[in-house]
Amino acid sequence: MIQLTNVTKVYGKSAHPSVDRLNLSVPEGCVYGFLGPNGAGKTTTIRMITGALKLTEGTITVGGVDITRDPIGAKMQIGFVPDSQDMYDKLTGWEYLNFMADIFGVDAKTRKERADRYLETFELTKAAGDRIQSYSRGMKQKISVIGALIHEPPVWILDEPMVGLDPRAAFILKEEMKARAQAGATVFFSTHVLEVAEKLCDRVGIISKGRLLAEGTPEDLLNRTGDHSLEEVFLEMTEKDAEATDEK
Amino acid sequence: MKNYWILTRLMLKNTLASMNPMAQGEDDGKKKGGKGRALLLIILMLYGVGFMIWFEIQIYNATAAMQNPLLLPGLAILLGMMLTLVLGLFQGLSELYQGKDAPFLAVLPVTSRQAFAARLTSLYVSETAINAMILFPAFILYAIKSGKALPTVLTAIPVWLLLAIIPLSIVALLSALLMRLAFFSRHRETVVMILSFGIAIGYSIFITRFNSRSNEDPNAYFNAFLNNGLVDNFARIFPPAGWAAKAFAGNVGMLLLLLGVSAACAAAVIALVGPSYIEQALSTGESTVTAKSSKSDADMRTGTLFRALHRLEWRRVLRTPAWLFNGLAGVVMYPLMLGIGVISGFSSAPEGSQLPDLMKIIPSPCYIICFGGLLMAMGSMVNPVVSTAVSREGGCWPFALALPVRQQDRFTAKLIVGIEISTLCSTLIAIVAWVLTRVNPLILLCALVFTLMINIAVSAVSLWHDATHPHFRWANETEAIKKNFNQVFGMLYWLAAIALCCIPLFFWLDKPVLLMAAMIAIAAAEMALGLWLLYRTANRMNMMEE
Repeated sequence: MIQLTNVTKVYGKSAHPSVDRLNLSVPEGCVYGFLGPNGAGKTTTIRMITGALKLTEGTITVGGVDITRDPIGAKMQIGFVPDSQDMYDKLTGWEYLNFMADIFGVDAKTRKERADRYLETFELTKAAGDRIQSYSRGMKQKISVIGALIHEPPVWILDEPMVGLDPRAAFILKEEMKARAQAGATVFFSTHVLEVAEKLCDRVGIISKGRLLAEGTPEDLLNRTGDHSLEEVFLEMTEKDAEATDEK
Repeated sequence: MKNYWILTRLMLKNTLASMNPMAQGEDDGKKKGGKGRALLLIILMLYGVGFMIWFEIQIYNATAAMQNPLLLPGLAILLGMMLTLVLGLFQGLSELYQGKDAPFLAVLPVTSRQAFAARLTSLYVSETAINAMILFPAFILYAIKSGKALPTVLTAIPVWLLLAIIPLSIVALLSALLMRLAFFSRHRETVVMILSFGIAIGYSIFITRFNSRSNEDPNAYFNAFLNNGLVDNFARIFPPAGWAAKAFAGNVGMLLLLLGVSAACAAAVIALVGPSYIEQALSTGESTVTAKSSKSDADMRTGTLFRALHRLEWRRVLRTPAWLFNGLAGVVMYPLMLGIGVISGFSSAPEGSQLPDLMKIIPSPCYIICFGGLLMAMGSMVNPVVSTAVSREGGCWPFALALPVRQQDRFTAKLIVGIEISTLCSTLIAIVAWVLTRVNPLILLCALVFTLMINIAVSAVSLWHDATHPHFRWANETEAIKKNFNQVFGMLYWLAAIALCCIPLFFWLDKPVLLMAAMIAIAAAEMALGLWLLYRTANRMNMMEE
């Protein structure tokens, strides 16, 4: 599971925190959607959870391991799919997967079996011998997803995973996310596609200006606000937050 | 024509912006030492220009005493043209064909010829700026000392402006030929690399053989060169340099010839290479490794964490043409050029003054270890791979930090690759030195151990600097290494390491054993300091960004 307690991030000498006393608890077997407008603090939060960014205050534990105190132990439990298309694209698909397997200490037999399986699932087997630099955006996203799954992590974190994927690939990814959660893993992802969040997530959190505005199951949020869709909930909450900030 | 100007302006602005030391280090909105970099750049420029002026004054005084004051500007002209021709081949390849903007150019409503002309102009401007630093001190000195200020200005400006055109046209043509030859290869980058090294080395051998054939007695040759053979010698080495030298001396006919040939060369290369330029630049970015029908066991061989990181570093350097050219070119070229230069220098020396004979009069092998070691340590000066190792991660850095890898392990992999490259250069120098001098290999091995200490020290400090002041926001792979100010810091650290090792020379020059012991002790201390600095930072970084 992922646990964030009073997590705050202030960049440099900025007066405004990018993430402000954030508390979150994502249990095992849950698909958690992290929603928010551009610049809300989603990627900053994800970078702190994955141990790429120092926390200014607070604590984060991944599978019970404190990311600050034992970063290696915490990171070993994470499979991370970044939002950026920047990756080690001079490697071939095979070499990239082998690199990830080496980093996470996956034995030879298991890595072959998993690589074959996921490459077939994501329909990338034929391109695996090519350098990643020759891949399309969607193919890069797929190899990144497979790289994050090669050690079948108990915690899977995806930053804007649907970007660049065609409908079929997006469907396969959503099915995989559900399957991972059903197998007991924690799946945490950020997205702008609210329909995806509404259909896929067990719980969602809405963040704006670094603060958590609302959190719960999609049904909870709809009942709480009386809205008909997650999109309406999202727009209402973020607009209210923007107005409150303007008044201040 | 309008499109050509717009593109040229854009490319020049981009080049200037990427070279701006104030802008480097602005990652995540934080300015890191921009003012410090700018100050350092100014100091370095003042130092460089100051050194050049001092050096040229010495040459002018020597040549003026021999009644040949035109030698200095002539040498500067030759140097400018040669640098553009030889070094321009590597720069031309990476600037013309290895930028990431080919897809951007391809969709613009401009012709391939306009895009090529704009790129060539941008390259011309940067080469002409470099030439200004070489030519102007010599021209100004000549104008002052000879009292011919106005005629000098009238000839110097057009010569300066025309100087880079012919060599650049040759470079552009050769680059296009290389890319075309390599197009059908599965290992395109390697083919281009080998061919371009071959051209540069072949040209160097041609020049040295040509010169050494022209005169059997080097002293007579040198006197002839100084007193009456100046322009002819230039013309023999590279005819346009001869025309430029004569044009500078006031020969209007030669100036017109230089102008005409320059214009013809530029027009010809634009007409020949221009139409297929974008297509070729696009093909360079394509993957050169084709899909395998099935994977082999080697594809999924298990390895340790260090091996995975080490292999990743090497693969990225070897498969990124811009990093391969700029990172390994000097490492391979420097020993070879050194060898060719020394061979040509001694090839016509009289019996008894050949290098192996000269080595016999050195009183102690300790001197060979000390000075040979310092010479071989040049390997870490010409190695920008380690001083840009963290910056070259670029947008991959946040992902790299999310991996369960200790910063120490990551830095060790980068450091080892840097040391391997520097030591490759040092070893090549040692081999060249052995071939030339036939010194006992054990002595050379000892010198190599001394060099290794310096290489480790310089690599560790350079990597520490890049880790603490990374430049992640580069637009293309060439910028990541070539326009990264951290590689200048790498050279400065090398200079500092060598300077410190030279301190014992002032005290114990006549006591070889003591001198060697002191120099090795200093190198060991530098190595320990460098490693301590690097790993202390790695511990503090705790794998996370601030």
